Amino acid sequence: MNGLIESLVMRGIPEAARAGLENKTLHLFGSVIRRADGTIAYHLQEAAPLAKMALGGANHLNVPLQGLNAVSSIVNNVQTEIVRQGVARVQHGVELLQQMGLANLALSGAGLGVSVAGFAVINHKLNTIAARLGGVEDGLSQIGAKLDAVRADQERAVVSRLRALANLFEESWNLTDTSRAESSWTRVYHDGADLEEHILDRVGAELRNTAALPAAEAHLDALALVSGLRIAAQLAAGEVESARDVERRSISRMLGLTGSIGLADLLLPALADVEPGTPAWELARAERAEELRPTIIRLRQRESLMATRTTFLPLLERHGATPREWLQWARSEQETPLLTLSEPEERD
Amino acid sequence: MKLDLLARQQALGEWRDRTIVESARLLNHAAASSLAAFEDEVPEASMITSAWDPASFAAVRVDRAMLRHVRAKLPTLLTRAAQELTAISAVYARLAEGVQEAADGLVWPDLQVIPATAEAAPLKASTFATSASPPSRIGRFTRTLFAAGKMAADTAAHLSETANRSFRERSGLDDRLRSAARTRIAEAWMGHSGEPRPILAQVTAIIDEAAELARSTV
Repeated sequence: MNGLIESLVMRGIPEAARAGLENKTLHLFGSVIRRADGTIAYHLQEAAPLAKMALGGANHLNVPLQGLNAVSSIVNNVQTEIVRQGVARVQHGVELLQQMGLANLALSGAGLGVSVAGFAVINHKLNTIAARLGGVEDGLSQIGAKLDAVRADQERAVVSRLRALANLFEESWNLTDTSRAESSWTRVYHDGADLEEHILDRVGAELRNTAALPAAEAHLDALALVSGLRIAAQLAAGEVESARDVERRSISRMLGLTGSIGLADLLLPALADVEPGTPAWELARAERAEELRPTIIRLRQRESLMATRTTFLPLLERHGATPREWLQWARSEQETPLLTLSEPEERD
Repeated sequence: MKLDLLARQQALGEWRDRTIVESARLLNHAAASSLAAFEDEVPEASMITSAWDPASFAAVRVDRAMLRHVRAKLPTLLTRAAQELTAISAVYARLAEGVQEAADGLVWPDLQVIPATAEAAPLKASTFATSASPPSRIGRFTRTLFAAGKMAADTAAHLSETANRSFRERSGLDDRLRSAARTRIAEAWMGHSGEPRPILAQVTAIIDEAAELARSTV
């Protein structure tokens, strides 16, 4: 079966895709690279070596390289060279991700493709969410110590439940009994639904005031993460239609929350304290637009990523491969943090 | 979800942001020019106007200047926005027509006749009345008398105006006028709510309405 997938997979991003992105004949949209006519040329998928990036970024990989260069024996040199090439390939992949602006996407709550790059990656995402929720708590400390304490407890509970789900999802891959593994993944799907509703209520209340968007982003990421886990769990359990249904509902809900929020909604209220008809207004507009633009970009990227999590399914179906095999492939990848899936004729 | 639909919705969001923010920038630029021009008109205000009704004095002058700057440019910006909307998708052609129609129907502030200043008004009125008198000896005599009187009045007015200005500057009356002009910009042109609806609020409502309808257009 893996042979079927092998004919569709490329490590990293193929040269033709990079050239297309550069000359604008291809466009990155969420986890897919599309042609001008809207058809999908390549599907991007995060893979296990992304964990290296989550643990310390590309620079982290320079340390073993320097250490390896110091080894002197001939035998060791041969072995070292093999390892060095492997590490160099991972490093190259990480650098490529960073150059193409994909690194942040891969490590965002939504992730690139299906969330299967391992616990280190999910842990990194959870820590980022927890840190941002902590930041929000700091900002609320004026309201009242007791209310803040309740809120902090609730935020910790959300992160803790997410972590438990992620653990269960990851541990299920190690089970030798397939039916037990499928049962565990089904639990992730069911328990995740409850958590998803809880976060949805929370973020819905926050976004009644659009100005609260920056603070609500941690919850939006948590929402993307939990729906991603549920999709991954259903794909792993072989419940393809259910996975598609989770994707449809999660993107629809996300669009309901953020789809109509744009720069103007955040920018104009942020200028309320600046006198119009003055150069100061134009200066403040430019400065605040610059500050707010990344938030809006993240909103659009999150929506696109959430809408492109299962787009690879028809390709796998055409070639007789199962989603679980594909996810297993991404989990056992050792060389590059990003895999590309495409029809064989798209290969370089 | 169909990716084309999502991509189109995101393009609509960008269109909405761009149009609203560009309209606000255009109005702000016009407002800066109008306030600068208003500075030259401050000396025209009488003490009574400055003290009791700076808002009317400022409104009519600010509105006149703003209309000169944006009456043509803002509808042009919205016409371009309507074209961009059609460029996102041909299915928005009717909505683009709606944007165009709404742009033509923007409700601008009424441009009233600029009231004369309290001290100058009797002079102007009498000038107008004299010039309409039939040319006769009595009339010529009257005009000579009037010319002499006017010279005296002009001199007195000049001296009085100099004293006025000095007094007004010291007492902050000119600042009341400037403040009224800024308020007029903030409320009638660049405000987000109010009655009659500020121009920026009207533009925002048009674009919001079009974007909302476009989102629900399949």
